[in-house]
Amino acid sequence: MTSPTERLEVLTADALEKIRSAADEPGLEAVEKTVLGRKGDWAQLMRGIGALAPEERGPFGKAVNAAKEQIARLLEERREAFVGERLAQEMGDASFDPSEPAVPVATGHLHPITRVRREVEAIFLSMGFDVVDGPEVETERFNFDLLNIPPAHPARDLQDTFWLENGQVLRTHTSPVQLRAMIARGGKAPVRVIAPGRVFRNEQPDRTHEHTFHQVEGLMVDEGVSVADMKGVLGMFLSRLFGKDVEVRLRPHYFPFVEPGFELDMRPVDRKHGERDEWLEMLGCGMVHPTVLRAGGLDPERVSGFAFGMGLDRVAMMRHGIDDLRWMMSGDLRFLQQF
Amino acid sequence: MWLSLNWLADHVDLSGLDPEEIGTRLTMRTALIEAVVDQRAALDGVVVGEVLSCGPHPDADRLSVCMVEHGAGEPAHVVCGAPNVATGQKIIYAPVGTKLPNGLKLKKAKIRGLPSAGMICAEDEIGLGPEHDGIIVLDGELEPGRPIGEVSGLADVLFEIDNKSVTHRPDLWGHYGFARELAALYGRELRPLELATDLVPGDAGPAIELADPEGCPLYAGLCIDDVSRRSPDWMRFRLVACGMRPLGLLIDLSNYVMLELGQPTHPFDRDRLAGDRIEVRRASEGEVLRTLDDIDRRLTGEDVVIADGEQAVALAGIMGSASSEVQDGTSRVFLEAACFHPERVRRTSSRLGLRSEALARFEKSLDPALVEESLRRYAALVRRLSPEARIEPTFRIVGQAAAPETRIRFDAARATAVLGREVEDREITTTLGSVGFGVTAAGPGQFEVAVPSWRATRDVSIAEDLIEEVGRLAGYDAVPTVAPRGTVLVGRRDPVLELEDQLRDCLARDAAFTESLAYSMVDDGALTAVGWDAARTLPRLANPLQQDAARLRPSPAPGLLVRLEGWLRHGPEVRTFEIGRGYEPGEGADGEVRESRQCVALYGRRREHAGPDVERVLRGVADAAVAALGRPRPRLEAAAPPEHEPWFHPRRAARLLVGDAPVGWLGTVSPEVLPRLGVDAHVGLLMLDLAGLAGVPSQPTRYVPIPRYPAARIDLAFLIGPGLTVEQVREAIQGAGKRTLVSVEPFDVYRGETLGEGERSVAFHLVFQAKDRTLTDDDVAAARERVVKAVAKLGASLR
Repeated sequence: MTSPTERLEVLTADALEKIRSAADEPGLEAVEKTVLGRKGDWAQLMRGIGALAPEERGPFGKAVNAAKEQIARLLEERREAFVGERLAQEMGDASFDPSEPAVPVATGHLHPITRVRREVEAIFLSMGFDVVDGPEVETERFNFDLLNIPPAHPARDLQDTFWLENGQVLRTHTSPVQLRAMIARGGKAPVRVIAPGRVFRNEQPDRTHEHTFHQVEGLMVDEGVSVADMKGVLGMFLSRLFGKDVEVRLRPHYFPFVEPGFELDMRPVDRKHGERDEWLEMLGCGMVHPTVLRAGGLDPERVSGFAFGMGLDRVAMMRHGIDDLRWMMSGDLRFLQQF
Repeated sequence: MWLSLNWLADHVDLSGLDPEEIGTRLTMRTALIEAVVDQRAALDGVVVGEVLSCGPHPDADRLSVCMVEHGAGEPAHVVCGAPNVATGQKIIYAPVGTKLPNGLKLKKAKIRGLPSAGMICAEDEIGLGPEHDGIIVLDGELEPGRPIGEVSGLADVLFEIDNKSVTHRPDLWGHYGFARELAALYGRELRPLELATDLVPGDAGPAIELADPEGCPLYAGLCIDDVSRRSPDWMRFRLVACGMRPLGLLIDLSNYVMLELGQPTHPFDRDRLAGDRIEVRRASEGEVLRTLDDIDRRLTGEDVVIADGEQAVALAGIMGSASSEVQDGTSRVFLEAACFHPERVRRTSSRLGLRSEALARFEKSLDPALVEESLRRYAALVRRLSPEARIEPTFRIVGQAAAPETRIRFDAARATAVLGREVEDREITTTLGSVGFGVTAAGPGQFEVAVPSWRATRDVSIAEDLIEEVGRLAGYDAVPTVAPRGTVLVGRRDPVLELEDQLRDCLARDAAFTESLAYSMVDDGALTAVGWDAARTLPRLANPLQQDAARLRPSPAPGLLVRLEGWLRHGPEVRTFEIGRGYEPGEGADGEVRESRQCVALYGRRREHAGPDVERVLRGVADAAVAALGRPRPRLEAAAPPEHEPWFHPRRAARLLVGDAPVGWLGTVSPEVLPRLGVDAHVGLLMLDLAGLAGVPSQPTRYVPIPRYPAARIDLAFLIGPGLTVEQVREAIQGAGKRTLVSVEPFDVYRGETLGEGERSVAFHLVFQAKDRTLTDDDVAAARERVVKAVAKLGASLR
């Protein structure tokens, strides 16, 4: 029978050998378990300590500890080597192919009209305009009469109208909301509102016409509001909307509910190159007609204001390069999911 | 409407002005010019030629062989087919290489064996007129080789006016009105019109009776005999350029005067007017008149007609009749000029769907002074163009009409305030004066302005109208741009609009739905397909674009459903929504339409594509959407869907409530509806009522203290038989779990062949937690046992 010391030497040599020959980290862990575990040869060896003479016990204990330390050092060394190897391997991994497909994030789509409308709203909110709403099915009175468009007036032809059997109309413009907003504010100035919404004209759709489209109406009434203010507000609005400095010009135009009435053209100011684009017709506008102010409960002797109406569909078309207005109401996912 | 530069230049000196610049100035100060078309540019290379010799073609009866001097190089040898070509004529010669306005490019050619270089042109070949039979013969004084563009009376520059921009300006429906504007815009003189001022009112010609003085307050007639047939080329070219067909001098002159002054006139064949008398009256109810376009028009008492001794011969202000129109053999003419009630003739025109150039002018409220003026102008032109004609020295004029005598108080300070630029007294006097207003100073900055008759009928009546005149004639570029100013306000959005946009964000960004829009009008076919009860009325259009899409939709739902078939072809699953309005009829026949504001989300999945029940998918969307609005979590209450939502499965729909407030519906689409949509798929709808949601106050999120002790989580699945709801089981679990069970959530449902008929396995997620200690394994095990026992009592076993 071998002595405990001999046995220790054998076990130590065996453990060191196993550690050296371990192929991976789990192999190292197995060795560690046998050396430090409560069962097996090492545990037995420790239990055998009682059989030694008392004077032998101290030196033997030290020998055991030294052996264990040696084993632990080698374990640590080998473990670090394995970690290093693994890291080197991972760092050397060249299998990444950036053209492999993405895992898609499920996302929905907002209608281009919604997007443009929100931008318009944000700009006007920042200038202190409220965003208000009105009915799509209007009375003849609000859509025409109170806007200075009496029955049998040729101005009614400017807008082909859908009539309902009950005598109401599908609103031909968002302008009735001007009146509703003035009335809702109790005939008090200042009034600063915009009203986006769906409008209707009785005409066959083609690339640039729709019987259902979207407008935003604007109204600013206060003491001393002038054409110069209108140019300023609308110029600022268009500059923000298109993200570049634009200049605007006014041309005379007839809208029965404003006097004077204008069409507003815009073009970018490109100061760098000195060249300028063509004028683009953007919107109709004008100084609110005294008849309309009175219908809204305001006194034209005391206050004045401007109003405008702009097509949202056209802005969306300009922004996204859309070539046919009819896509807007088409419900075609191939169109809608581009935005 | 087209304007001719040559014609305008008859009335105002436009020499030295660039036509493009004229167009721009008119656009910026008067009316929108949509196009400037220079006919001269299209005639580049075409010159005056002289026919040196002209003889018959040896091999063709109808052809002539000509030598044409054209001012450069050798004379050209040209074969010409016109019957009127002759030696010594000055003609229009297009050399080889020219591209004509009709697109023809001239090459060297052989015609019946003889070489032909270039062409002697007829009017249609150079785009000036419709005729092809003969060549144009020019003034003998012209030099060969002179570019045709320089020959007066031929090529013109045309301006296209946007008619909408002159709806309010009856004075701008003719050349003379625009000449007046140009005179003001360029500081030049407006030439007076050549008028037959010697004609005086009298009693020559048919007797005139005005039986409808409202419909026709003023009527005049002039008799002219033996007018020659053909109009001169320059006049025919002008008419063609302005879009009219030349039809002989009598009619051409009438059109010419209309295009010049804006006042329509009408020549009757006097020999065809029975009884040699005219009566202007209301049509009798049901009276039939065959108009010039050969259509029988059934009239009403609202319509104004011109009648002779027997019958109606014209629809006043709109169109004449075949029975009285001038013909080739007409020698005696009765020329009518009148003032018609603008709204009456307009209503007649709308009712009959019959518009004409005359009506377009009458409905604008013409200046009654034009009645006499147009007769005098017509007569002056007859004298010039058909000197042999006999014009009665007197004309009849019956009735009375005049533009209102309008005088407006005008305040310079007010103009300054409205325009936002300094308006000086002198400017007011000059500017308004330049377009015919009579301006009288009435103190510093104060004026009294007399409106000229041609602006007073409808256009100018208040000070704002004058401010527009001052502003536009100076150009609005003179108005500075002022940075936005005013009381500082913080803009607010309408609360329902705000809700709508929050929903859009949630549905599109969080729930991956695509926003779609559909028309407010709904196809009859779509309504039938979605199960709409035909007896349930919807607001209806009186004049729809399509007869089968005359009703307004009750909801955006049908519009989404009818597109489903196409959408499902696009992919295995579809998620779309529309936020829009539904329309309901008001009370009574004339009641105002009621609009509801709805958010409708549609979820559809092909059958072969596995996934959870559509109701559960939409329930998730509803929870997320209502949470996004800051409203408390909604609950569902199974209920029979309402009649106005017939697309729901009668037993697989539920009402959505927040607290006790109903805010919408959710459910499967009925298996009766789907086949009619051509769809075999799992389909459901979530409908949110925005007014209902807006009525529930939003609540800010309440912070819940983070627990100090860890939670223990277990999942339990129970086999639930028919007749038991998930909610009942959930309540039983909650009751048995006691205080430490802080949350019970069902999270999965399984049905399958391994389970019995009507059985489901429903998995619950349980969270145990105590406020004052860490729960032990034993605590959780005991609770779990209580839960299982309690659920077993309901008849559901642990799986």
